[in-house]
Amino acid sequence: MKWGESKIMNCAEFQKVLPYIFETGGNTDELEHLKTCPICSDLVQDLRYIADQAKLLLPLRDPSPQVWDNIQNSLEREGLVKPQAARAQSAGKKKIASRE
Amino acid sequence: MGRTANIRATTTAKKTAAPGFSEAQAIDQAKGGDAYAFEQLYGLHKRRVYSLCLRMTGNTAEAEDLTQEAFLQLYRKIATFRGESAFSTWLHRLSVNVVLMHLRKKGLPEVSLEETLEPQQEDGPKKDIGARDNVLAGSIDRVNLERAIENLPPGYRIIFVLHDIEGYEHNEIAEMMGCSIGNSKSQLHKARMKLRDLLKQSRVERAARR
Repeated sequence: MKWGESKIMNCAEFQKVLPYIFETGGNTDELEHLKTCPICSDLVQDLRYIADQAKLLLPLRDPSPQVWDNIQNSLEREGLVKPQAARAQSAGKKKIASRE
Repeated sequence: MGRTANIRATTTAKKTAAPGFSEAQAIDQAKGGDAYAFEQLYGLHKRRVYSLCLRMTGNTAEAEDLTQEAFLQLYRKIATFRGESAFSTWLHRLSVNVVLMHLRKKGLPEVSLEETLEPQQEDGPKKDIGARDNVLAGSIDRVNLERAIENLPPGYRIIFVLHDIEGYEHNEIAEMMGCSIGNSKSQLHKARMKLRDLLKQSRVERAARR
């Protein structure tokens, strides 16, 4: 094949370079294959759809209340917060916050 | 941090903690060891951190333990937060590192993606040559997608969650996972291909039940 001559790509060749086509947008041969091949066109459409849908996923749910209790207990055990003071301070501020 | 991840992080950062108590104030006070301020930060970010841990591990108990570990590390390290990135971006990076460290300790997957994340041949995405099927568009909902992600092999799942859900760039993933950028790209592609298989399979099963 001479330089500049277009090569007809088959599905196997196209799918081999598919990860890079997503990055680069594809060259003339790759885009030509995509235009004329319904199988590869469906595949690209599906992979784009999956990536798009994933971006829309929201955080799932809160952890159980036990997680916060464990955090507090660990901080107290490590001496990073004072047991009574921390809880009293927290409760006091909660009251102030609820009044605001 | 990648552009997408930054945009998502900024949205979270605009939240306020308790009434009359902004996130910025909570951060400042938590730096000084204020337990109440730290609790406010936990309240603001627990859902996203937990979801990240859950999606990366696919296990509720592990995700709770890792959420706990991430917030304990946050408490110990918050004084080093300089505000060069959004707080949520910083916290999420810290959480990702906690999860990856845990997975490395478990030996699943190891640091080198090249060797340990490469699934067995029969586990990899099938070549889709010569068979035409209906496209997925419009046929999958959030629940099906979440379930399919849960069923991905761990190595694929981690890359997919980090890139497509959390918005990290390949160079960031490569740095965190200790692999090449090319490998991160290739694993992501295989993950999406595998997801496509799983989603098509679940669509067939749903249709058969009707």
